[in-house]
Amino acid sequence: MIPALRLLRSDLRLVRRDAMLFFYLIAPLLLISAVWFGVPAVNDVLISYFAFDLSEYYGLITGASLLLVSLILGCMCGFMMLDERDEYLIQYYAVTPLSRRGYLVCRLAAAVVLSVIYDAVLLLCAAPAPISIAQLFYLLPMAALEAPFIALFLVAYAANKVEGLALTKGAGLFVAVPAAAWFIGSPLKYGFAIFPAYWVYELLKLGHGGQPWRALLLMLAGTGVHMLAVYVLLRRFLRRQD
Amino acid sequence: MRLTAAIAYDIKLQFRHGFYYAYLVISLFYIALLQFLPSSAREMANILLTFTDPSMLGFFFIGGLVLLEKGQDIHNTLFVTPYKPEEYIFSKTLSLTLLSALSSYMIHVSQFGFTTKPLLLMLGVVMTSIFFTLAGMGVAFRCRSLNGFFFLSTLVALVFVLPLSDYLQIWSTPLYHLLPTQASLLLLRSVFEPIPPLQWIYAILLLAGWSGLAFLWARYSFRKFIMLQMGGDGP
Repeated sequence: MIPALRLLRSDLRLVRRDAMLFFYLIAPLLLISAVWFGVPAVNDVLISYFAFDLSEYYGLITGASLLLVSLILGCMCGFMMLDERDEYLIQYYAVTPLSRRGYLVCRLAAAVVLSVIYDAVLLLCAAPAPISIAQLFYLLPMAALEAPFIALFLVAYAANKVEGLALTKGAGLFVAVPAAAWFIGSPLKYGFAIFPAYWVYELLKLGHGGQPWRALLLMLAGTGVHMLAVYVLLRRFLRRQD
Repeated sequence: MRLTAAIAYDIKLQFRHGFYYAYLVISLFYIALLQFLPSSAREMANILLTFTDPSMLGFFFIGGLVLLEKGQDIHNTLFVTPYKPEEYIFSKTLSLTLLSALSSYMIHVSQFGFTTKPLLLMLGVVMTSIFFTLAGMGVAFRCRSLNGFFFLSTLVALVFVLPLSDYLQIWSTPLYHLLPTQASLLLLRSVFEPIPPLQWIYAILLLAGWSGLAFLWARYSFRKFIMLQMGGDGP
């Protein structure tokens, strides 16, 4: 574990030295503030001009922005690893005491920790739908695993950063497509359940109206699907020769 | 002749790296999304989607293409051949523009069939794509990592997508008429709301002017950050 901490310390030094990386850390905050101020403002416009009440979809918007924050962080983490692979840095790390596994743990742990922080800020302060503490604790494990899922998807399947960019386009769909389940009826929507993000939307659609067992079940299933997805991609990445 | 070969090779490279598959999937997703919308909102959604995604895809992809070549020191070997930097820039731009055009056309035709006259729409897509790819290339030559590229390019893009606030009737200023993207939106919209010739001539000239500037900037960035760094340990 110690070599991983050493890498983390040198990363922090890098962030302090490279102003651009520091600014990149505030990117999710921009999205959070856009949701905070933007959604109520847009709703006012829609109600007065089109008599369309957006607040019906606040749960959906909350889910989408939550997943988007994790998507941004996952992509940043994935891009970093793609860059490091193209520069053969991962090969260097692999022969140091850090090892390939330690390197991966360090990169992914950073993505998880950052997603937990930013997602909690989003849910507590900026979410348009009211979020209970129980919901917060149900959503965070899934949202936190979404970032490593995206990052691993990029590095497990892309041979280099150019392929990684093409896959990023696909990664966005992992978050966008299951949102359709919000509008689709019961038997058909379970088809989306293979997407980890589906469970985040489902949990938000349930709201916090007196179905604690159902919510708990959704959380357990969703976290399970996320962990399975991360595990499968992790295996795939570790099997790669580069 | 050399330019056509270069473009053909760039297209092959992009195909092999999955750009075409990625955009096939993305376009199908947008088509499904548009089907899902009420028909009154479909025209506006078509324009918004076309402007924010297929038209700007070059801006996004050029970062990876340039950074990978930079990392692999391709430029060092490439430019000892007679291949000119200008050809390199044109080839990258035009090949990505083809993908923009294909994807936009597919999305548009899927919704509105062959009933509209999409000439100006497609011209808008092509010119917007050329401008954004050149601008993105200028940024990419200066960057060392993907995250750095996306940070800088987001700043650049933020300025240029401002005219969307005029289209969505949130906020407007006459200064928008100086931005190339105002012209892009004008051309894209003209497929549904015909505009007088003077307006589309203005839009085409404005986009052409900005694309010229973007080309000069990309070439300057190339000289400064690629050419002058060659032979050494690199930046």
